[in-house]
Amino acid sequence: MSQHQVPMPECFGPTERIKQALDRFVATAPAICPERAVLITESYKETEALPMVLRRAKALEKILGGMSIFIQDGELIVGNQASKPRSAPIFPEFSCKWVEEELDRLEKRTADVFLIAEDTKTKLRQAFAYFDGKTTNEYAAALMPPESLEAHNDVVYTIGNYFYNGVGHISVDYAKAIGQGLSGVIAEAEAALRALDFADAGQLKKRHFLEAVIIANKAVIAFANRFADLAEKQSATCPDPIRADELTEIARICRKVPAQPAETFQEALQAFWFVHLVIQIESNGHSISPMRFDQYMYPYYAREKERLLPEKAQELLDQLWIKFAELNKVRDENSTMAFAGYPMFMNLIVGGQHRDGSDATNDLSFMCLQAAANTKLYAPSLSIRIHEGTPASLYKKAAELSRLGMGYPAYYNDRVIIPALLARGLTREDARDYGIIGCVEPQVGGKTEGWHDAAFFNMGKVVELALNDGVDQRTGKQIGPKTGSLETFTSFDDVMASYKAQTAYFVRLMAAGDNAVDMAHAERAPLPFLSSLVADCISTGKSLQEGGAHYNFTGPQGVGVANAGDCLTAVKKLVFDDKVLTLAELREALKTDFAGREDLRQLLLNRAPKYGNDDDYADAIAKEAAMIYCEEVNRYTNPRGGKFQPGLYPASANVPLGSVVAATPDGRKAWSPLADGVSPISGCDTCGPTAAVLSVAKLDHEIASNGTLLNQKFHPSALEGDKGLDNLKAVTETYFENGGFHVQYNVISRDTLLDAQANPEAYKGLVVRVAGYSAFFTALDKSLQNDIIARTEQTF
Amino acid sequence: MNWKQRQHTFRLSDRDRPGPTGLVFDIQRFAVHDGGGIRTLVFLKGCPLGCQWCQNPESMNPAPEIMRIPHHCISCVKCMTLCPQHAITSSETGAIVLDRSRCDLCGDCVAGCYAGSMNIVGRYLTPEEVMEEVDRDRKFYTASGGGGDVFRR
Repeated sequence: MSQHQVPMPECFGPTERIKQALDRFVATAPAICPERAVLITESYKETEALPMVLRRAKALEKILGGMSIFIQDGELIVGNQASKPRSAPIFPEFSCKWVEEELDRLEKRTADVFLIAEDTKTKLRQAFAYFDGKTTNEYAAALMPPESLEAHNDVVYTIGNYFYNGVGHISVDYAKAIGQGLSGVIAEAEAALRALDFADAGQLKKRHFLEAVIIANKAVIAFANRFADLAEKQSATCPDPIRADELTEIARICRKVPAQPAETFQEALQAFWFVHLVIQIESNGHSISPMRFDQYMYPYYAREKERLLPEKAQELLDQLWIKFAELNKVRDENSTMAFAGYPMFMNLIVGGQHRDGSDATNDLSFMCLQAAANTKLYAPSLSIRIHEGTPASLYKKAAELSRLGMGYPAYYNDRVIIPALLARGLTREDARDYGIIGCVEPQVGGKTEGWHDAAFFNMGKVVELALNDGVDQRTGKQIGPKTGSLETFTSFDDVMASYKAQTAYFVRLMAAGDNAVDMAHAERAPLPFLSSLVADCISTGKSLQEGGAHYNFTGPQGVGVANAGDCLTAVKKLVFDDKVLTLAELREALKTDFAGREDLRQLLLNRAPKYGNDDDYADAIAKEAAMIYCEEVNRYTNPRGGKFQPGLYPASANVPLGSVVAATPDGRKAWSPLADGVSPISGCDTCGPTAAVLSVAKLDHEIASNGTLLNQKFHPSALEGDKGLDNLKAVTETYFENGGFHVQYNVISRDTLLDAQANPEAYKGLVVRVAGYSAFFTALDKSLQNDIIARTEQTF
Repeated sequence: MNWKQRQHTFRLSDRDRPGPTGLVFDIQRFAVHDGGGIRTLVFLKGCPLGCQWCQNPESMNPAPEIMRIPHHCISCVKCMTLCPQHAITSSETGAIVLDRSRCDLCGDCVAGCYAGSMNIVGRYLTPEEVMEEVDRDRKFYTASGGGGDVFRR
């Protein structure tokens, strides 16, 4: 660590106002709001003749103009996504058949329950009738090769996220929106419009996009003014003079921002919030990430250092944290298993480097960590960038926050991520300026359409197919190429070749599926507001969906690295090296899910080396298994002129992906979860966290530039006192020095989790780390709860 | 061979390897209690104290010995078939019963018990073999200040 010192500023706990807001939040039950669906249907019916991008802008205008708005007691930052906090709007334009089908089950789900009124169901059914045949989902299904869709249905991979919903996974140029105001954005679009030669056929389409940008931005300004009107009204009748003044100030701010440049800290926060909020009304794409909030908000905080009390500034930040958590999204049942816990994945990252390489820590970096500690919610996904110049004080504050046990911050390694981004074509300054999207995906904000959650690729399934000549053991169908089986292999090379061939075949189908979905979004759901805040859309006259961004990528994730590694290792060691197991015995045991052969399962579990124990034999094979996936993904390009780049993380998809995979040679029982991210299989890392991270560091993280994810769980006693914080830092530092990408810590005892499972009412506010994000434990499906409980608890 | 792999087999003749050797019964990485930093603990057999509350009673006998972990047993009865001294039988309820007086520590049951229920605690290791394991976490010792001055270089 360098000698760069930054004193820790005094930090302040939650005020009464914040505590009341938190109580209110935890007591609010998520529900479905029909307003957006009704309004967009009305709008679409009125604009049938228009180009799609203009229809989108006018729809946004109608929604923002017609939806219910409210200001809650004590709120200082205003703006709601639906008619009640934590309620989810509906976005029929992406897909709605599943919503219709699931309407009567939403309240009875095992996870992510949403209340829904009968009258809401009626309104939605009417809206859905219009959208039949018009959704991005239906168009994508039509564009896709049938084999791609079948493989998705067989869960060899799932492209469900963007197939059913908006894309999201982006960070706009917040600095520009706040600093120049949306009137600045409008002026830019107007100038670009004037410069167009619409007689040139290539430029005709751009006119529609730029006009849409102007309409959309004006609609957001009008939306803010509605809040100003409401605040004024409330102020006039408010009995409490202090509150009346607060409301008058809110009204003044909402007339000024986001139209005009912000000046004060509160104005900047309000401008930020309007932008961040409306993006999530325009589309239901999640992972809309604030990213380097402590950097672009700092000038507004610094300017007011004399006038604004730090406690007051902290309270404003805490307020914003609660607003973040009020955003919500409803997903279909399958996707809910993969993204459980009402997550919005809004990644906010502190620290790191400036564009010139110097350390970027400032007071806000600490205050953001404090806001997370004060609110103890599951949003935003707080992260920290670590580099050689990270001050010890910031590291310590981050470790203290980790120890609180909510599973954040997540730690990111500049030493690996910056080179990875350079290798993907970013400039040196852009690479240094990176933030994280969603779970673990790095990009530079304000200029990237990263498509970072393109798919989850089921590495466990591919192993199963590789051992069975491409025959799906769940259905008996021939779904993969015939590449050999446990009946025909004569050497380990045969097994590896089969795994490689299956991977290549299905990655190719996945790429085609992804590209079809990509094209469907360009055709049916261009996003003018979002695009207006990302370079180079206005200057090129193209929406993000058409390739207007400066950098374009598509990032699908491999899930089950540890399983693939351990399966191949077990076969190599026990069958071919030690010869204590025959292929026939193995085949029989897997087919019958180890019925009557528990001894064979124990052999596979205990006598084969396991990834996660600093054993070079197992680690080398896990590395190769991951590389094979990554190199295949690298081959492909997308319709926006960008390349595919692989990642290795699951959100919570390791559970549903595992549910379609039969018994595997790592000793895993049929249909049980796969390992999460690049973490060792739960229970298989039995040599402690130092061994675990050394193993994981042996993978090539740089090629997996869409992000890798390591979960480590500590019992609270392992991190007691200042020594405990030093140890956490030592583990993180050593992992990073050895090439790790990301690590997140869950610090909670197994006993607490078991108690929460048995008595959910007493644990409504308990936040745990899932994988790349945190969630209320009690909102999760039992299978995911069990997976989290089963994760190896490091305690010595 | 790493420490984990050594647990799968046992050879009494290792005792007679050219010395020096020590009788190690566990090597634990990431030891963080009762001291500073991250350390690795090497547990040796032959503790002379005999405390009533001893948490590791397998540390007392200065010789290798069979250690059973009954809840790992999957009743495959392989140990029974493998034991050349017929020291292993099963009771009426099907539970595995070991007659220690007949056991000569040949290690066959340990090699055949995949579930890790039959174990022999204690391995004769040379200092080099121990250090090979301990050295793996050198970077953590340095980063955390564990292990005192020896590893600070």
